[in-house]
Amino acid sequence: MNEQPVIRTQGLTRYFGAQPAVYELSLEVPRGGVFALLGRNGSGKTTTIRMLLGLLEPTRGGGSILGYDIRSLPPEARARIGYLTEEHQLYGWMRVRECGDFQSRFFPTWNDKIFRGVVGHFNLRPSAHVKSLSRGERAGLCLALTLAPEPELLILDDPAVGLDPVARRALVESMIYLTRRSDRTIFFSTHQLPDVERVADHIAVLDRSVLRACCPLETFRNSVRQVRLRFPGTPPALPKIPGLLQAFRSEGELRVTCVHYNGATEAALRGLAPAQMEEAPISLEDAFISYLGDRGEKSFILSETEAQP
Amino acid sequence: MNLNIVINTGSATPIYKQITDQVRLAVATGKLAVGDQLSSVRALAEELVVNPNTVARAYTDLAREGLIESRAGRGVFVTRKRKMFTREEGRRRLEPLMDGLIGEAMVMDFTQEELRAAFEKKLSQCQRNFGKGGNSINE
Amino acid sequence: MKALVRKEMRENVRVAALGLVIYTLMLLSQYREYVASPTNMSQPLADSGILWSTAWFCGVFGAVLGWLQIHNERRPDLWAFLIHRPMTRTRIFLGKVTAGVGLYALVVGLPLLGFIVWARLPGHVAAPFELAMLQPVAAYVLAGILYYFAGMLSDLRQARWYGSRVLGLGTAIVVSPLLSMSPEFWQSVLLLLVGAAILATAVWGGFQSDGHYRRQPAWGKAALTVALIPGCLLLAVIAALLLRNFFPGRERSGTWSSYRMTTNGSVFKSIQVADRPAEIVDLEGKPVLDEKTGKPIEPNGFNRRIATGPSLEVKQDDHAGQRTWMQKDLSLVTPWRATQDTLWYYWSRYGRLVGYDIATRRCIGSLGPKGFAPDLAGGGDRFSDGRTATGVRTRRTASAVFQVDLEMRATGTLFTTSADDPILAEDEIVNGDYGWQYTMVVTKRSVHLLTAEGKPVWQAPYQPARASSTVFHLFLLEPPGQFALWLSPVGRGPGEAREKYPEHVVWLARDQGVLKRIDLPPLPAPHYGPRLEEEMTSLVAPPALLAVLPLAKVGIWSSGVPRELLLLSWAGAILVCLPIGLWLGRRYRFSFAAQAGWAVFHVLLGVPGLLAFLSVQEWPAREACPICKKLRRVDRAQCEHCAADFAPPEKTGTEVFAPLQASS
Repeated sequence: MNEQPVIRTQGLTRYFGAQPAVYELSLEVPRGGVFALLGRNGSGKTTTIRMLLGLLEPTRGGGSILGYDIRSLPPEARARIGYLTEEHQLYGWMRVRECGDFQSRFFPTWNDKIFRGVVGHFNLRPSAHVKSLSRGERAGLCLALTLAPEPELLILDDPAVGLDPVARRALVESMIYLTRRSDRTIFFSTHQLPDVERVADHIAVLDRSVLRACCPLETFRNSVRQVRLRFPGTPPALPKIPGLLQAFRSEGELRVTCVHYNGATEAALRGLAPAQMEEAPISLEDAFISYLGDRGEKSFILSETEAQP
Repeated sequence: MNLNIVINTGSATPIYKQITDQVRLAVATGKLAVGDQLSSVRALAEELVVNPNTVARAYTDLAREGLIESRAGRGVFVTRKRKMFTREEGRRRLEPLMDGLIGEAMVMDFTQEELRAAFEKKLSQCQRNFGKGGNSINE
Repeated sequence: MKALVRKEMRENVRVAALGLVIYTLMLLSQYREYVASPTNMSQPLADSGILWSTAWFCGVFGAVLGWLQIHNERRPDLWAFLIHRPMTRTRIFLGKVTAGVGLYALVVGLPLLGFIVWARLPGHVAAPFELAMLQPVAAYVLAGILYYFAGMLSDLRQARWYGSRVLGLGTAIVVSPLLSMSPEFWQSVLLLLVGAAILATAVWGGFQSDGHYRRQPAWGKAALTVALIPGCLLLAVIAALLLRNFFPGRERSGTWSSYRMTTNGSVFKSIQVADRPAEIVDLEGKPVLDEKTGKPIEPNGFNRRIATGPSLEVKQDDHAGQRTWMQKDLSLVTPWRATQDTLWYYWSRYGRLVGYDIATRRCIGSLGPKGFAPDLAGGGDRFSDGRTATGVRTRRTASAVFQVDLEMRATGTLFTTSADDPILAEDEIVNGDYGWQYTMVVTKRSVHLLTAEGKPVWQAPYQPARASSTVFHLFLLEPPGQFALWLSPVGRGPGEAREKYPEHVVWLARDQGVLKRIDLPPLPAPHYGPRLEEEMTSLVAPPALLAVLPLAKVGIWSSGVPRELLLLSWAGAILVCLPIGLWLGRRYRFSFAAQAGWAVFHVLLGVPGLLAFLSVQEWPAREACPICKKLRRVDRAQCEHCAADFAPPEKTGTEVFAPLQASS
């Protein structure tokens, strides 16, 4: 079987002006399965995707996609890669049917049944003008255009942004449909954690232009743990704990989120002499927010302004 | 399959665990009998709109527990439970479930007798699902 | 690619339709203007109306169309949609250009074709037509292609300052006037092709790199830099001229002297030094005094005494090469005179006067030396070509001067000469009070003056000047009947200076012939010091340009650029542009080859070159190296100073990395 990763980057870096948007990114995306790229706004996800597709030149470093160097993607590479941008923009003056006709002339593997199927799934009239479509309908059309050539690798840049729940669900269904063939890979960036929970096999997390995590989804979930410590009085100050993400202090309680919870971390926490210490289960969304939020002690927003009696 | 599995995203429980818990509960309550067929991995994945790998992992875990088995070319079926855990392990797994049940009942102001009666009733309903020999709760 | 071409054409069909309507209206107004006055003696296909309309429309429409074709996809996601398909970027570029040029050809070609068909159908236009007369219009239509590519370039380039994107138009703007200045038509076409190739290559390069500079192939980078240089030159010149206004005016050095003749036949010299008023002196050098004031006479007062009269330039060898092809095309046919029912033109192809009936708009025949003929060629009976300034009654051949009677459609002989003394030039002298008074004929050996009826007034033999051409001035003196003939050499050939040949003056009177002859020493050629505008402009002019300017043989400085200006140009390039270029190269650690190449570029191309260089370059950011602490470019894997790598991202202890399994 083909063991080559479909996407590989080595030290991929891009500066805008004097600031790096992506810094020394090195990751590998294996063939087959769904890979989610996560990160806050402005952490470099779109920049990374544009570089992978040869639409933006890396400042330094490089990578390969389907074995082709990203700095010089030939037409046959582009035939095998589907790309869905986050804006879902198309030529407003074209009709839905004409979009399909137009694209079909370029891709030799065009499957019109798929195109018509997705268009029908989103209830698009073939004679409707693109500029009269809603955002969700446009997303459906773009999805149809991207899926119809049956690409080996599907790259989606924040595809669910601005979509209503029905359109989002249809999008997730299409991703699952693609997994029918084990040689197809999906690489997408998103903020929609419920969707990530549903479809992603692996995730990578970009934190301010740097890659901080790249692992199977379950590994990430298992890595981030939340521990609840109860104290009779005010909880003491928190010592330096390796892998500490965030800590919330409230009356008599300290909630600590950390990574790689092991014996040393447990010992450090027990050293605070809590009355009770137990591990609390944490959802993926909360784990993610802790992981990418500011480090250290956190309080609820604007709680200081209400504190004075 | 007549089992209605529901999953929630954003829960503290991973999706695969929600599936295994629900299948286990269905087998325990009798909704699924030994020999009943479960949906294939692909079909369940598309019904729940989740990654098939997640469903596959759930099924793998259930198979490892001895609750289901996959028959080549025919599908996935509920199987006779085989002894997979040690007694100690089994008791340890049972403990939190009993805590939950008794805690809920106390909150709802059931008395001990009422709870015991309900428990006995349930046991007799599920009688047929419990294994003969080696797995009897009466040891 | 066909699908792409079709899509492009459909996408821009509205703009194309608008352009079609506008151009049709422009041509319609030309049509209406022509039809409104039936005595209009112009060929609508070649007159200034259609040339201006076409030049402006083609330039603006071309630029707008090119700009729009790129702007339709300027949003990053639409651009990605265009590029991310199994088609090389070059083919995408070709598809767009095919559609754009096709639309342009339709929008400009259809109305023009209709106009040409209307004009060529007999009975519409009462003027002669030659195919070469379409060359000017064709040149402007082709020039629009340059504007098209320049328009594409202006929206394609990802330049921070929008102003620098528009610099590509500078090439188109600079080429347009040059078109009309070349001696031959094919040279203009060549110039257009070269300009279009440079701009098209720059656009192609932009497609390869999504509008950036660094990722382009070398051809694209070179073409882009070259394409911006004319625009930068325009900017630099405008800036220099504007800056000049901040400096006080400076007296222009140099002297200029010329001869003047007064109405009583006396010769004086007018000497002008710098910008001071001219000094009038007599031939011995004594200043002329005003009788009333006793002081040296004012030039204005003196000018009232100047004698006037026509002048004829005679070129010994028919040195016709000084005209551009456009001037030649537009003088293939010259309007002659209109009678009540006929428009007469001189058609140099046939050497005859051709008449068009005003009512029927058709050709009725032609007039030659031997008289009227109902066809155009008249059996090969030709007048000589020759540009007479005011003459509308006479024409000549090498052996005779004819008076042309358009109403009677006949010719009469006014003057004949023998074969060994051919006629070189002739002109009519029209005096406001007297109407057509005299005819002046210059033959190889004499100058003749005749009355309007053809009776000789006098004949003055002369020595043909050895200058390649001579100007014959005829001064009408007072009292009437007194004349002065002044032969003035105009050296035009290579190496001929005016100073070599004397000025020859002959005084004549009616019925008496030659009264007196003198030779006057030639005056030194005017020598001007450079003006401040010229100095500031040459400071920003590329030395390479000033070096090749004299080769063009047209325009100013065709005899050589003054040395001071050349030195200023080199100074600007070597003292300002070269250091800046070298410093930037050092700061960003250019390779040795790059430094050397750009150094040559800066020295040859001066300020416009430096501006183009600054416009195209994309400077990488610099960061401090963790090892050697010096600033280093962020786009090189190793530090230029210590060859260290970049630091990997800092570990915070919260990284989660685990091997990913391939899907089963």
